[in-house]
Formats: sequence, C-alpha cells, structure tokens
Amino acid sequence: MIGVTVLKHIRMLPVLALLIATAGFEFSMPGDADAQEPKVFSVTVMNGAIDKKHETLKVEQGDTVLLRFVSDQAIDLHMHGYDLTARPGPGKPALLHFEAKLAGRFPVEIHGAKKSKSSGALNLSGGHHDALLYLEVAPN
Amino acid sequence: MPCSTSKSRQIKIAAATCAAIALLVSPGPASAHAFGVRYDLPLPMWFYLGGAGAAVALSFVVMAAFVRETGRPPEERRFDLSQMPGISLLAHSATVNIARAIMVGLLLLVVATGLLGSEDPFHNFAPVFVWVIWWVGLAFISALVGDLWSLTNPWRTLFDLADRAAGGSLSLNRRYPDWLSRWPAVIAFFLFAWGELISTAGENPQLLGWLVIWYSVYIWVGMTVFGPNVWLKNADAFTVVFSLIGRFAPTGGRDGRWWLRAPSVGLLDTRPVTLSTMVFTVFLLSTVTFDGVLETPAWKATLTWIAESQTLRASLIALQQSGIDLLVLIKTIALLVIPAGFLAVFLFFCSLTAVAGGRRDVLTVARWFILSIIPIAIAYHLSHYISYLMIAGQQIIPVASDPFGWGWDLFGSREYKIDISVVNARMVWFVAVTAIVAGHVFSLYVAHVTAFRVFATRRAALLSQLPMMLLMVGYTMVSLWILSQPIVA
Repeated sequence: MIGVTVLKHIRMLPVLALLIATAGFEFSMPGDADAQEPKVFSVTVMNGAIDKKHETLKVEQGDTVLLRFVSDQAIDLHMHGYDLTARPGPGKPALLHFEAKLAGRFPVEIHGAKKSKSSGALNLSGGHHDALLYLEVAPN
Repeated sequence: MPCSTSKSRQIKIAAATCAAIALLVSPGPASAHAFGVRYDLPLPMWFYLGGAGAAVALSFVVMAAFVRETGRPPEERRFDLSQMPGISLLAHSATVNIARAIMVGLLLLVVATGLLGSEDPFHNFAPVFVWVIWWVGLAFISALVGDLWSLTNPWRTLFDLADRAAGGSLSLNRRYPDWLSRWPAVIAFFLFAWGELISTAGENPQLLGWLVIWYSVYIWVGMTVFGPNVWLKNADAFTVVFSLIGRFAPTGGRDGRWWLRAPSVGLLDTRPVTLSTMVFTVFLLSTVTFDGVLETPAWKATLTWIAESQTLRASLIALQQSGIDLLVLIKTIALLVIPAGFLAVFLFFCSLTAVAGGRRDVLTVARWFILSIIPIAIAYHLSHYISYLMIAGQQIIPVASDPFGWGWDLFGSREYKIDISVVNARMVWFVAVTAIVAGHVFSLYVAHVTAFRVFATRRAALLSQLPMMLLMVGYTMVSLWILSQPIVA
C-alpha cells in the first residue's frame, strides 16, 4: 500500500529533492561575520614540529589573519595557495598578515628543520613535502 | 498506463540527475600523489549526513519503482545521433581525423618534452598534460560525454598509418589465446596505478617520457602480433578503463554508429563480463578509493603506528638497510591489499545476492553485477578531482606557451599564474554530494535491471537486490566519508 502511494508521487521526487537541496544550500549560508578584528595565531615551532593544538587553524573567508611564527631553528615556511613565505629563526619571529580571500584547506610547508627523532619511531620517508600545519578558510 | 508512467518517471529522474551532473562539467581543463596540491575543504557534517540519508532513502524509492517495472529493455531507448542535423559535420571523417592527428601530436609532444624538457614538473608539458588534462580530464569526458579515447587512440592511429604504408599486412594476426583474456590489461593497469600513486613518475618528466616510450612499444608489438583491435581490447589498460567508464556516458557507439542514451544504460549487457574484466573493474574501483584514502588522517595514523611499532621494527630496519624505500613498500602492499579486500567484500555480497535470488554460481553473479558498481566510483572520482582539474588544470596555460620549460612564449601565456579563486568551495561540496547520491541511484538502477536478467523470477530478482543495496549504500558511505576527511598530504 505504501509502495503504491510512493509510486503515485514519485514524479514529485526530483522536484522535492531539488527544493530540499536548495533549502539546505540557503540554510548553510552563515550570517555576516565580523571581519574587522584580525584572527591572531601564535605558533611555536620546536625541532621542526608544533603541538597538536595548532595543527589546523580555522578562519572564515574574508577574515584578516595574523600568523606569528616562533622557531628555535632557522626554517622556511611556505603557505600553499596564498603563496606566502615566512622565515622565522632563533630570536627572530616571522609574521604573515593577510586577508583570507580564498576558501580552502591550505598546507604550510616547512623546509630546513632538523627534527629530533623520537626514540620509538622509524623515519619512513624522505618527507620533502612535510606540512607543518594547515589553514582552513571556511567559505562564506 | 504502467508503461508510460515508468518511462516518463525514469526520464524525469534521469533528467534531474543529469542536470545535477552537468554542473560538474568545468569550463577549465592534486592530489599529493602524482602532481600538484589539492586545497579541498573536508565535506561538512551537514552535507555528509544529508548525502548519506538521501542515498538510503532513494535506495528504497528505486526499489519500490522497480516493483512495477515492465517497460522494454532500457538499452533500446536510444536516439540515433546521425539523425540530428549538424551531427554529420561532427562525425565526418575529416573531423575525426583532425582529432586523431591532434592526439598523435600530443603524444609526440609528451615524449619530446618529457625527455628533453625542464626537470621541473610544473614547467614541463609532459607531467601537466598526462596527469591532469589527459588522465583526469579524459576520465571526466569519458563519463560525461563519451568514450573519446577509443575514437582517437594515437597508438592506433600511428599503427594504422604504418599498416597502410605496408600495404595492409603489417600485423601477423596471430590468434590471441583465449586464456589470456584481459589479464595483460590488468597487469598494465596495476603498473600504471603504481606509477601514478606510489612512484615519482608523476614528478619526473624524463621518467614519464621513457615510460610512455616503453608503453608504446608494448602496444605496437602486441598490435603487430595479434592485430590492433584484439590487442587494444585486451592489453591496453587505457582502452579498457575509458571504455568501462564510457559505458556510463550518455553517448555510445559501435561500428561507426553513434547513439544518445540515458546515462548508465551502457553498463547493461546481455551477458556477464569475463573474469579478467571483473578483476580489472575491481582494481579500477579500488584505486579510485585508494587515491583518496592515502590523503586521510586515518592513513597517516596507520603509517605512524607502523613507524612506532616495536614488533615490526626489526624487520623494517632490515629492509631499510638493504636499500628498500619503506614508504614505497608499504604503499605497494596497500595497493595489493585494498583491491583484494574490495574483491572479498564484493564476492561476499554477491554470494548473498546469489542465494537470495536462488542461484549458486557466485562468480557468475559477480561477473554480472560488477558493472553496476561503476557509477558510484565515477561519482566519487568526479567529486575528488573537480577542483583539482579546475586548479591544477590551469597550469596547462603557461605550459602550453613554454612546453619544454626553455623560456619560450608561444602564446604569450608563459607568466600565467594559477588562480585558485575559480573554485567555489561551497559549490564543490554541493556538487560532490549531488554527484555521489546520483551515482548511487544510477548504480542501483543498473543493478535492478540486471537482476531481472540474472534471476529466474521477479520475486527472486527483487529479493536478490537487498544485499546489493546494502553493498552500494556501504560503498557510497565510504566515498562520502573520504570526502569528509581533512586532506593530510
């Protein structure tokens, strides 16, 4: 019985699906974000690594972002997508100050760090594409 | 009345999903594996759950729709494109020959730039063209338009030219052994997948150039011995891949005729595929998934576990000291294990399907149903690569002006910088979920129609589809899950 009722209305299905999808699309649009205050992150790099808390930095599209890097070694940091470079060193923090115009998940690659090997882990790879952290810019 | 209801209903469903898929066709022409970086955001929970829920709900709807299916075989509902005005121009041998000439030119350019050009893969035509435009782009075209490769295969074109020059007797036309079937293509595809996903062939233009040369030799020698058609069909991994994907497409053709049809209808057949084709398809589907899995935090955690494992430590050190790259080894093992696992799961569900439908020959049932899984894989592949194609694909613009990386500027576009803002993250999510849900519906549709051909009674056919539905919901969920994972390169 239910089957027959469903079949009668099945022509409505694509229309209904489209309506639901559009509604979902609308509801998932956020309201106006307060983009005046810059989002500030201070990242400390020790031995070429950072603590887990900072592995993914999240901002919204349109935010002004201030990334401050402090490192115990002289390293090169390159943020893909935005194509920005920072070169923090001992006693010499580096700043990245930009507007998060592009939405996406952008890796920040690190070069030139000598990592301490934790006693238990083997090094499986050359790791020349090591990402230090990721910046996630959510679309608005 | 039932006939016209089901026909118009099917057309409406097909049209709605086609419209959704049409959004995917990007005007433009990385995943960390072969080439380039991907910037995709993980699919938010809202989209993931919505997609999963829609897939499950629609599964029951499709099932219910088939309770009353009585129309004529879907493959017959097709439109002969040669009837359309304008098409005669497109299908004219001159147009096709121009397309073939272009493909041959591109093949030669790939080899030349690969071997002689810059070592920087981003400024060399060969890697950019092969990995982004050709491999990803042609997959899109094969799925959404038609099997362009079978029409314009450059190896075939060059062989035919040589054959004509030799008076038509270039090939020895030896009989191709039946037991070989498509196994050469299976092996060739494994090697290609290994090269694409695991080795550095993606980033080394010279290596890529040499691989193309070796593959060309493999193709031409085989064509000379067994004849071009037979060899391509059984031994050219790309002919097999693009023809499998192309079965989903809304156009298809054979022997010079060209049809317009509903998507996925080309996956239907009057008999099951061969065992080697089934294994090939399983491999194809699992490498598509493997690609995404390699970028998930779960994979990274697995690697960390292996690196920190005390039990494996001794053997790993021994291997490393004998010169083996551990990461390559681990990934190679995964490249074998994941398809094996996929095959095992698929055969398990086929055994349930067979039993529910009253049959005992599980392998035959598997060979009947494997093609119905393809739409889900296509949908995931498209979702995974749409932004990659639109972003990394732009690199073809500067590289076209300076294919060798020697400082040329043929079209004035040498300084072009990739513009990431062409991709709208939210749109990609929307398109990805719609594509995957649509792929799920197409898969179910193909499986249902196939069931009526495989099983003796209507009731047996419908019952048999319950396990198949579970399998597909599972595969769709896995695809959605991968898309919801943050990419860790």
